[in-house]
Amino acid sequence: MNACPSLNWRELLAPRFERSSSNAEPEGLAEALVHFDACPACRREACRIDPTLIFRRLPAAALDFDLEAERMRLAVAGMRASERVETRRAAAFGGGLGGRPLARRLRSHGVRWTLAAGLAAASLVLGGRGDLAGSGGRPLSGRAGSLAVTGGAVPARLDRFQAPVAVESAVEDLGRPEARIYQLDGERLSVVMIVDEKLDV
Amino acid sequence: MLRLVHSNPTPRPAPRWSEASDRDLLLAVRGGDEAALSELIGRKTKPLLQLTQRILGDLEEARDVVQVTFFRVWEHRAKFDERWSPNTWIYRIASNLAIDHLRSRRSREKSTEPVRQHMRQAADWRSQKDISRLQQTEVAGIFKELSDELTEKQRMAFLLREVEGLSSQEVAEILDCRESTVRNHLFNARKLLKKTLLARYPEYAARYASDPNLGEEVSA
Repeated sequence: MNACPSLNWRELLAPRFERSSSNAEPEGLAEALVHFDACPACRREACRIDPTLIFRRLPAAALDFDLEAERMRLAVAGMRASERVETRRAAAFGGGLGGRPLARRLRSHGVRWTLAAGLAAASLVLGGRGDLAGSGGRPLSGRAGSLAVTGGAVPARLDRFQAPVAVESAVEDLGRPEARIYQLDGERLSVVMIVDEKLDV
Repeated sequence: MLRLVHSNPTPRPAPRWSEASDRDLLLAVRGGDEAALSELIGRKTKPLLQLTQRILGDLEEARDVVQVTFFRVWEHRAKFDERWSPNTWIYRIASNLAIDHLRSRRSREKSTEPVRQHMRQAADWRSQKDISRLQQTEVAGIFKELSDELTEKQRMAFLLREVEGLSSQEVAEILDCRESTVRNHLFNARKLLKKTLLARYPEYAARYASDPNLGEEVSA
């Protein structure tokens, strides 16, 4: 079997082994190599001139790449978690500023302080509302059915508490739309819990 | 009484990252979107694993490098510039890690002589065994041995250009050098590979050129 007469492989491939001023590849080589992949006769002829072409189709391992990707996801998640733990440990045990970039540390602290301030303010405000609600004032519930616990049922240990009810948010300006806010009213004090899975604290 | 006083009633639907471009994915990753990172991992694991396995010649080491590549992508996500080609940026991270890995390995690696002997033995078995499978193993093994003679940059340029089929410009961006330098690396790599292939495996090169079946198998 002869190579296709329309392709002069010697002319196309010889410049690959000549150091010219430009070292540019001959015109038509890219198209010829596409043909090379599909034509056994041309492959033989071309490899005779440039044996390195046998490496053009280096075999890759036959793997289940979906499974490999899943392993990658787990490994990367593990590395990220490990890095977080390490930087916190460094910060907690005298790591100084070396464990985490200063800007990130300040940003993280900023989030914490903002939340703490919001929590304190909410406690003061809601503490008063709790008294009102307890004495028959306007309940916090508003749009029935519009609010629900995301992520499953209330744990059994909380059964002595009232099940989540649809109430209007009293902390509108939190700026964390995916957070859930729970409120536990006492006689003189209300405790507010903010649950946000994405909060990196 | 514990009461739920605020909850997002309708969580925002997750974007359909499977339909997003690589660039959009990386921009989302830059914004801290973990779902986008997950999609990126799903999309790039195969090409990166194939590339790094060819560079390193070892699947387990390739897995390690690809894991660290994705971790670096996440850690350095803020540095991604949308003017860059996503592939180029990711390949560059993976290539640099693979080169580092190669350097550290070379400092502790033994001679490749046993590999060479194994390949010669394998060539003798070719007529009796599963030719297609053996042929593929041989090609990979021979490349692993011969490419040890190349510099890291020569090996990377050859793999990215000749095997992965990237353009010279893309290879230059990945290797952080000029296109003319890439061409120079390619020229030297081809020359050295051809010389060592013909010197160490003359029967292989000759057989490849004369056996009508071998070309079929390599491309399979």
